[in-house]
Amino acid sequence: MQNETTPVVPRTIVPVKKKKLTAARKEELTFYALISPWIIGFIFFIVGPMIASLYISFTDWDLLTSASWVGFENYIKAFTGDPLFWQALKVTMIYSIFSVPLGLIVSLGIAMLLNQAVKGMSIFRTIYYLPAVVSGVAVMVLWMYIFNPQIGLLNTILSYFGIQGPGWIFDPKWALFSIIIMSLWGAGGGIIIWLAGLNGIPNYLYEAADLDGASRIQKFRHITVPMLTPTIFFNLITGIIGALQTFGQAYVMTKGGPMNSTLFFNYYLFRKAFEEFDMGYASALAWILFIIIFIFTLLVFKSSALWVHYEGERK
Amino acid sequence: MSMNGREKITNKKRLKPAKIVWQVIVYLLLITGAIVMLIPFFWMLSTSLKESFQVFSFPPKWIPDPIKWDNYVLTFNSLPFGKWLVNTVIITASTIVGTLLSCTIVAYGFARFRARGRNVLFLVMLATMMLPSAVTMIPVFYLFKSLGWINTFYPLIVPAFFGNAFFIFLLRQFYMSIPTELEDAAKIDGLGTVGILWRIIVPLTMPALTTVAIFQFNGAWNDFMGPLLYLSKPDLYTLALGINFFKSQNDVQWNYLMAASLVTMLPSLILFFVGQKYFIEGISLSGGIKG
Amino acid sequence: MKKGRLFLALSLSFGLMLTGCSSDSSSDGKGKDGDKVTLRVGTWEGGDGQAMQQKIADGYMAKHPEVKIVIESVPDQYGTKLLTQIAAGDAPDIFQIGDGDIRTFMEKGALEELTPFVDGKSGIKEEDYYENVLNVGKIDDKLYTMPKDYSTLAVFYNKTLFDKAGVAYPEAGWTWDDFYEISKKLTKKDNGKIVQWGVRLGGAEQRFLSPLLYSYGGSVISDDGKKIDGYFNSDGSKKALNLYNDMYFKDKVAPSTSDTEAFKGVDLFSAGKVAMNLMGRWPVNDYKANPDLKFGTVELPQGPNGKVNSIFYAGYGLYSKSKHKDAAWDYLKYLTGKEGAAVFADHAFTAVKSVAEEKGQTNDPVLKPFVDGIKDVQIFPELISPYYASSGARDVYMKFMEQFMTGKKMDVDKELDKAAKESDELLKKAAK
Repeated sequence: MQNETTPVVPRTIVPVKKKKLTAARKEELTFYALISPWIIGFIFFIVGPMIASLYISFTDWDLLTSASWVGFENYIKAFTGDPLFWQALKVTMIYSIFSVPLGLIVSLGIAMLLNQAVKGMSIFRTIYYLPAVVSGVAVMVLWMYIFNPQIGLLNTILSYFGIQGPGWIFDPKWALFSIIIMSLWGAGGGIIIWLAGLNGIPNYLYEAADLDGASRIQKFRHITVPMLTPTIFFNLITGIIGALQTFGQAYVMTKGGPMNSTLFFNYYLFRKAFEEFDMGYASALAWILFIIIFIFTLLVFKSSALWVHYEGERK
Repeated sequence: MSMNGREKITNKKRLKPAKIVWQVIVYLLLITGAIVMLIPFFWMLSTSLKESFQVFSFPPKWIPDPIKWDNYVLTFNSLPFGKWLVNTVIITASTIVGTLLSCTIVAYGFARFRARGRNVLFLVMLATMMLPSAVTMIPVFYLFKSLGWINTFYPLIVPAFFGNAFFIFLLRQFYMSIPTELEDAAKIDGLGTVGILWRIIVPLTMPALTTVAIFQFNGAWNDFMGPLLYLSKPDLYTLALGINFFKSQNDVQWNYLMAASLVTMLPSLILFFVGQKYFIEGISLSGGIKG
Repeated sequence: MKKGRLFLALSLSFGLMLTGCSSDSSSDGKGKDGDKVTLRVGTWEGGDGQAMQQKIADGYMAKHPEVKIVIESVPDQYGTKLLTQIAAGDAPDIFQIGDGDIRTFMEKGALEELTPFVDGKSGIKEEDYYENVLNVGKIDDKLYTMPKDYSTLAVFYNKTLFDKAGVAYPEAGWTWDDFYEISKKLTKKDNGKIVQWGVRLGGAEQRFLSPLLYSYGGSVISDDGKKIDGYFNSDGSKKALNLYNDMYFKDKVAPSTSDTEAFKGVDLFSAGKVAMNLMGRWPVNDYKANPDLKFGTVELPQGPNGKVNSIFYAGYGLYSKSKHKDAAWDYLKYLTGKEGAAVFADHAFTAVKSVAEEKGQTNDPVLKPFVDGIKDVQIFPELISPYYASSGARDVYMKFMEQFMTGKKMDVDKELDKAAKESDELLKKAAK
């Protein structure tokens, strides 16, 4: 346990059990030394603006004149006097409940596909990575070709079966569902994390299973999934954080419509802040969203001991 | 080597009907998906070669007539793209260095060392991703303005050297998937914390580090809001900001915008294409762990 | 460990590059050129628009070597950046402003009042401008923004499609009934599917609807900006909206929102899919560039209460916390006066009468109907009441219109009453 880089520990601590304590203490000091860049950055760049926005959430501020303290008024208004608050919350929740798990499954599926040993795979991988880099406008045009109620791809296919397709993103009943479908297409950008995770699984595990004559499905269930749980955990948490803060689709494509059916919470608060000049209220909304996201994250985090498997965990 | 040899033999043995059917299925799925992924790319390409009034013609035309190759010449002669490219490269490269350095170290701390308050700090770190940026944007702008950093690259680069919650989390997950035996052995051999990180952990997690580099490249290369807020002089613009010069309130020069966007996104694609190699390398390395 | 040092050296060298790149970071007033005043001008225009502004700035700087003008072009997220800058006290001295924001910016003290400057002594006077255009920058007879450009609405018509259907070209003085009849004649079906629409209307957009609404005696809000109930649901409004409903959904003479949105970006008029287009002047240059399109324009139709038009306006304001107000005003005057207008007028309508005439805007057959429409301009609700947008009243309007535009069967009168009462309450609550 000799460690040249860990700082020397002061000798003053309780003399009995000295050795054990020192080891634990050393480990603790190493921990803080290693994470210190993040702590410094947190103190200098992150915590200040966060506190500032928390303070703003207790004020009435139009961005143009100075803010005035209003106590809990913004929070009270959100919960009791703003029907759009509940609408935005509902839209965001429904979207997240569907898009997060579906997104995980679809992107893992694509990653498995892209992890097959076939010729030309590097080309395919690069193509599947395109959604992460193509211009947002081009993506929008694609979806217009697909969702167009008259001449779109989806409704044309449906018409072959004698089905009159809906108005998709132009129909308040279908708009959110359409956006969920769109979000799955974008899953391709995140596959590299899965690929990295899949490639972190040691080959000898599969080879051993092959010798035992395990089937593809058995290998998937008993090797791939357990070994991937750290990646699943990561994608689940960041997926939840991302989905609950969905902004782009509403901002670029629907402006929250038709009839507020795609009024995402994060888009709604952006609109309050920068289009309706109500930064105080927008900040309160942001902190309410923060609490919601935090609770969900905490739940998943606490549950992780039950299902996430780390090869090298030091508890 | 012996392992590879065995694999080849088993492959050959199984290259029978079931295997062929499987390969056909894989290709069919891959190609179907690839077409869907490529449509927006083709739209960009097609648009970039059109006359401006033809961009949104009806019915849509995929092959422009005439094909205006000189759109690309016009696009890149009309604006100082060279200067913007240099700016973008400086910012992107610096943030990649900063991110890799800081996140590697911090993630290692979170993954391997027990300490009081570790889990709380980790949650705090995750929490920094949970507040919508719309409400911290003004305080952050104010902070950088107070530091005199407006119209410099500092606000875009310096924070990268202090870690990023998303990447730290990602790397921590990968570090925790590596068995600790190797490190314990290295410690006995007298290797220090930094030595272990550099000689053992980093090589073993190349796929993850490549992922971080690709993500960070993509993020910094295409970042719009950051440069928009902090860079107001055209000399300092990045590509992602500069190509918006083809936009006006009621009038967007789609053909030029798409020509510029296409060329701008090429480096991201090339980097990804090249970066994959390290995934493959990752396999052989982690295969070696069993030793 | 060699690699570690390499890493360190790399990052250090990047640090040095940074320092090199940030040598001149002066975001406030005086630059390093001694007494030179630096004026920052914020604009949302990129491309040609930005180039025109640069040309004007160069012209000014040639005459005024003591002034340096920096144009800060923000073609996307302009409002977000401007508000962030204002909140942090770092806004440009002169900034472009959209008509919907003038009232709010003015009431919150972000704009310097310009009335004292426009008194003739400074070389310009109010009479130099079209009154109804200049008025957009005025609140309670005080001037806060100078006009950059504007557009009114008119009807474009496709001559080829009119000739084919044997319908005479519309002429100024026509009524909404004529408009409706012609639209019906030019709507064509094939196997029950519409292959050509008579007209493209503005859907839910308030300023595209207003001409119809007001010319039937309806309105969106009272003239004093205090009431919506009794105005948005007045008999005139109801009559107009029912007519609008018939056009869209009974006779389907106009492509619905899902039709137009579905062709996102496709100009159905340019593509020959609609025979008439109720529009501002924006697409004129594109239409002229399209060799397959022969078109004309005509003033908007009139209703029982006469002819009504809408205005779209972009102006420049002077930041109230600018450190160089006099210098900024001098440039603002140049930018929005004859010199600047002469440059802008090649691509947009100018409010400076003499320049409009010089540039032929008043007699070009395609442009004249728009200029003629200025006298009929009805001011929009965002300018009438500072609370219209922020109270949520506008959201109620939008929600009503979006529901309307879905084309589902609805009792227009009843829903209109409901929307008017709801927005009226919001407006009153906010104005308290």
